[in-house]
Amino acid sequence: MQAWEVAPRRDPGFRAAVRARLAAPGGVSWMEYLRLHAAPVAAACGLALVAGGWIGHKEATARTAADREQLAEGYVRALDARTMPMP
Amino acid sequence: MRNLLYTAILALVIGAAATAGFYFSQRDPELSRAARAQDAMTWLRLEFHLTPAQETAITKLQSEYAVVCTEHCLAILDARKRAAPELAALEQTCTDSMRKHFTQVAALMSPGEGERYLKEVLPRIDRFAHAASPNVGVTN
Repeated sequence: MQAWEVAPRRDPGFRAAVRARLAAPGGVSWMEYLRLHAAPVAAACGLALVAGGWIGHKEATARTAADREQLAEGYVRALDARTMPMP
Repeated sequence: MRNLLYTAILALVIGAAATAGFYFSQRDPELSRAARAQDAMTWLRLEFHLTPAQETAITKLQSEYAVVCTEHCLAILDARKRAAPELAALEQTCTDSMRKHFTQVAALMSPGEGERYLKEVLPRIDRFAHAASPNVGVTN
Protein backbone atom coordinates (compact mmCIF):
# COMPACT_ATOMS: atom_id res chain seq x y z
CA MET A 1 0.00 0.00 0.00
CA GLN A 2 2.88 2.37 0.81
CA ALA A 3 4.05 2.20 -2.74
CA TRP A 4 0.65 3.14 -4.07
CA GLU A 5 0.42 6.65 -5.47
CA VAL A 6 -2.63 8.44 -6.66
CA ALA A 7 -2.00 10.04 -9.97
CA PRO A 8 -5.29 11.28 -11.37
CA ARG A 9 -5.36 12.09 -15.00
CA ARG A 10 -5.96 15.81 -15.60
CA ASP A 11 -9.11 16.52 -17.59
CA PRO A 12 -8.66 19.83 -19.44
CA GLY A 13 -12.37 19.98 -20.28
CA PHE A 14 -13.57 19.55 -16.72
CA ARG A 15 -14.34 23.23 -15.99
CA ALA A 16 -16.00 23.74 -19.35
CA ALA A 17 -18.11 20.66 -18.75
CA VAL A 18 -19.22 21.96 -15.34
CA ARG A 19 -20.12 25.33 -16.87
CA ALA A 20 -22.02 23.65 -19.67
CA ARG A 21 -23.91 21.53 -17.20
CA LEU A 22 -24.83 24.54 -15.12
CA ALA A 23 -25.98 26.44 -18.19
CA ALA A 24 -27.96 23.59 -19.68
CA PRO A 25 -31.72 23.66 -19.12
CA GLY A 26 -32.51 21.33 -16.28
CA GLY A 27 -28.81 20.99 -15.66
CA VAL A 28 -28.90 21.36 -11.89
CA SER A 29 -31.73 21.55 -9.47
CA TRP A 30 -32.48 24.87 -7.81
CA MET A 31 -31.26 23.55 -4.47
CA GLU A 32 -27.99 22.57 -6.11
CA TYR A 33 -27.82 26.00 -7.74
CA LEU A 34 -28.32 27.69 -4.35
CA ARG A 35 -25.60 25.53 -2.86
CA LEU A 36 -23.18 26.32 -5.69
CA HIS A 37 -23.91 30.07 -5.47
CA ALA A 38 -24.36 30.30 -1.73
CA ALA A 39 -22.45 33.55 -1.26
CA PRO A 40 -24.16 35.70 -3.91
CA VAL A 41 -27.57 34.22 -3.08
CA ALA A 42 -27.07 34.98 0.61
CA ALA A 43 -25.96 38.51 -0.27
CA ALA A 44 -29.02 39.07 -2.50
CA CYS A 45 -31.39 37.75 0.17
CA GLY A 46 -29.68 39.82 2.85
CA LEU A 47 -29.93 42.92 0.69
CA ALA A 48 -33.62 42.22 0.04
CA LEU A 49 -34.17 41.78 3.78
CA VAL A 50 -32.45 45.06 4.66
CA ALA A 51 -34.12 47.00 1.84
CA GLY A 52 -37.53 45.55 2.66
CA GLY A 53 -37.10 46.31 6.34
CA TRP A 54 -36.05 49.88 5.59
CA ILE A 55 -39.03 50.44 3.27
CA GLY A 56 -41.41 48.92 5.86
CA HIS A 57 -39.95 51.10 8.60
CA LYS A 58 -40.25 54.25 6.46
CA GLU A 59 -43.82 53.44 5.44
CA ALA A 60 -44.85 52.75 9.04
CA THR A 61 -43.26 55.99 10.22
CA ALA A 62 -45.00 57.97 7.47
CA ARG A 63 -48.36 56.31 8.20
CA THR A 64 -48.07 57.03 11.93
CA ALA A 65 -47.12 60.65 11.23
CA ALA A 66 -50.11 61.02 8.89
CA ASP A 67 -52.49 59.50 11.48
CA ARG A 68 -51.10 61.80 14.16
CA GLU A 69 -51.39 64.86 11.92
CA GLN A 70 -54.98 64.01 10.97
CA LEU A 71 -55.98 63.56 14.60
CA ALA A 72 -54.24 66.72 15.85
CA GLU A 73 -55.72 68.82 13.05
CA GLY A 74 -59.20 67.39 13.59
CA TYR A 75 -58.94 67.86 17.35
CA VAL A 76 -58.21 71.58 17.11
CA ARG A 77 -60.70 72.08 14.29
CA ALA A 78 -63.50 70.44 16.30
CA LEU A 79 -62.99 73.04 19.03
CA ASP A 80 -62.83 75.98 16.66
CA ALA A 81 -66.16 77.77 16.37
CA ARG A 82 -64.93 79.55 13.24
CA THR A 83 -64.90 76.28 11.34
CA MET A 84 -68.41 75.12 12.25
CA PRO A 85 -70.59 74.45 9.21
CA MET A 86 -73.76 76.41 8.53
CA PRO A 87 -76.77 74.53 9.98
CA MET B 1 -31.76 31.06 -16.27
CA ARG B 2 -34.67 29.35 -14.56
CA ASN B 3 -32.66 29.02 -11.35
CA LEU B 4 -31.71 32.69 -11.50
CA LEU B 5 -35.39 33.55 -11.85
CA TYR B 6 -36.32 31.39 -8.86
CA THR B 7 -33.58 33.05 -6.84
CA ALA B 8 -34.81 36.51 -7.81
CA ILE B 9 -38.33 35.51 -6.77
CA LEU B 10 -36.96 34.23 -3.44
CA ALA B 11 -35.21 37.58 -2.84
CA LEU B 12 -38.39 39.46 -3.73
CA VAL B 13 -40.46 37.33 -1.35
CA ILE B 14 -37.94 37.95 1.44
CA GLY B 15 -38.00 41.69 0.68
CA ALA B 16 -41.80 41.80 0.65
CA ALA B 17 -42.02 39.82 3.89
CA ALA B 18 -39.50 42.17 5.53
CA THR B 19 -41.47 45.21 4.32
CA ALA B 20 -44.74 43.83 5.68
CA GLY B 21 -43.12 42.64 8.90
CA PHE B 22 -41.48 45.98 9.70
CA TYR B 23 -44.54 47.94 8.57
CA PHE B 24 -46.99 46.11 10.80
CA SER B 25 -44.62 45.78 13.75
CA GLN B 26 -43.72 49.48 13.79
CA ARG B 27 -47.14 50.97 13.20
CA ASP B 28 -49.19 51.99 16.19
CA PRO B 29 -52.45 50.05 15.71
CA GLU B 30 -54.29 51.95 18.42
CA LEU B 31 -53.38 55.26 16.81
CA SER B 32 -54.48 53.94 13.42
CA ARG B 33 -57.81 52.86 14.86
CA ALA B 34 -58.21 56.28 16.49
CA ALA B 35 -57.50 57.99 13.16
CA ARG B 36 -60.05 55.81 11.37
CA ALA B 37 -62.64 56.44 14.09
CA GLN B 38 -61.65 60.14 14.27
CA ASP B 39 -61.25 59.69 18.01
CA ALA B 40 -59.24 62.65 19.26
CA MET B 41 -59.39 61.63 22.94
CA THR B 42 -57.54 58.40 22.18
CA TRP B 43 -54.93 60.46 20.36
CA LEU B 44 -54.57 62.75 23.38
CA ARG B 45 -54.25 59.76 25.72
CA LEU B 46 -51.65 58.01 23.58
CA GLU B 47 -49.70 61.04 22.43
CA PHE B 48 -49.46 62.77 25.79
CA HIS B 49 -49.41 59.69 28.01
CA LEU B 50 -52.49 60.63 30.00
CA THR B 51 -53.32 58.80 33.19
CA PRO B 52 -56.97 57.72 33.57
CA ALA B 53 -57.49 60.59 36.03
CA GLN B 54 -56.02 63.13 33.59
CA GLU B 55 -58.13 61.72 30.77
CA THR B 56 -61.31 62.01 32.83
CA ALA B 57 -60.50 65.60 33.87
CA ILE B 58 -59.70 66.62 30.29
CA THR B 59 -62.87 64.97 28.94
CA LYS B 60 -64.91 66.93 31.51
CA LEU B 61 -63.14 70.17 30.60
CA GLN B 62 -63.75 69.58 26.91
CA SER B 63 -67.44 68.88 27.50
CA GLU B 64 -67.69 72.20 29.32
CA TYR B 65 -65.82 73.95 26.56
CA ALA B 66 -68.16 72.46 23.96
CA VAL B 67 -70.94 74.63 25.42
CA VAL B 68 -68.80 77.76 25.13
CA CYS B 69 -67.72 76.74 21.64
CA THR B 70 -71.33 76.30 20.54
CA GLU B 71 -72.20 79.80 21.81
CA HIS B 72 -69.28 81.25 19.85
CA CYS B 73 -70.29 79.22 16.83
CA LEU B 74 -73.86 80.52 16.87
CA ALA B 75 -72.70 84.10 17.33
CA ILE B 76 -70.21 83.79 14.46
CA LEU B 77 -72.76 82.17 12.15
CA ASP B 78 -75.28 84.87 12.96
CA ALA B 79 -72.73 87.61 12.32
CA ARG B 80 -71.76 85.98 9.02
CA LYS B 81 -75.38 85.81 7.89
CA ARG B 82 -75.84 89.48 8.66
CA ALA B 83 -72.36 90.37 7.40
CA ALA B 84 -72.05 92.12 10.73
CA PRO B 85 -69.00 94.28 11.45
CA GLU B 86 -68.41 92.55 14.79
CA LEU B 87 -67.47 89.28 13.04
CA ALA B 88 -63.74 89.89 13.41
CA ALA B 89 -64.16 90.61 17.10
CA LEU B 90 -66.22 87.44 17.57
CA GLU B 91 -63.58 85.37 15.80
CA GLN B 92 -60.93 86.94 18.00
CA THR B 93 -63.00 86.01 21.07
CA CYS B 94 -63.20 82.46 19.72
CA THR B 95 -59.45 82.12 19.24
CA ASP B 96 -58.71 83.69 22.64
CA SER B 97 -61.14 81.24 24.20
CA MET B 98 -59.46 78.31 22.43
CA ARG B 99 -56.02 79.40 23.63
CA LYS B 100 -57.33 79.64 27.18
CA HIS B 101 -58.95 76.20 26.90
CA PHE B 102 -55.79 74.60 25.50
CA THR B 103 -53.77 76.15 28.32
CA GLN B 104 -56.20 74.68 30.85
CA VAL B 105 -55.95 71.27 29.20
CA ALA B 106 -52.15 71.50 29.23
CA ALA B 107 -52.24 72.32 32.94
CA LEU B 108 -53.97 69.00 33.57
CA MET B 109 -51.16 67.08 31.86
CA SER B 110 -47.73 66.20 33.20
CA PRO B 111 -45.47 69.29 32.85
CA GLY B 112 -43.39 68.13 29.88
CA GLU B 113 -46.40 66.69 28.09
CA GLY B 114 -48.38 69.88 28.62
CA GLU B 115 -45.66 71.94 26.95
CA ARG B 116 -45.51 69.51 24.05
CA TYR B 117 -49.30 69.61 23.72
CA LEU B 118 -49.31 73.42 23.50
CA LYS B 119 -46.57 73.36 20.87
CA GLU B 120 -48.70 70.92 18.88
CA VAL B 121 -52.07 72.67 19.09
CA LEU B 122 -51.50 76.43 19.45
CA PRO B 123 -49.90 76.99 16.02
CA ARG B 124 -52.88 75.23 14.43
CA ILE B 125 -55.37 77.87 15.61
CA ASP B 126 -54.15 80.39 13.06
CA ARG B 127 -53.74 77.88 10.26
CA PHE B 128 -57.38 76.93 9.74
CA ALA B 129 -59.36 77.80 6.69
CA HIS B 130 -62.51 79.31 8.14
CA ALA B 131 -64.91 77.47 5.85
CA ALA B 132 -63.78 73.95 6.73
CA SER B 133 -66.04 71.75 8.83
CA PRO B 134 -65.00 69.83 11.95
CA ASN B 135 -64.68 66.10 11.60
CA VAL B 136 -63.25 64.72 14.81
CA GLY B 137 -65.14 64.09 18.03
CA VAL B 138 -63.48 65.17 21.24
CA THR B 139 -65.62 63.41 23.82
CA ASN B 140 -65.65 59.78 24.81
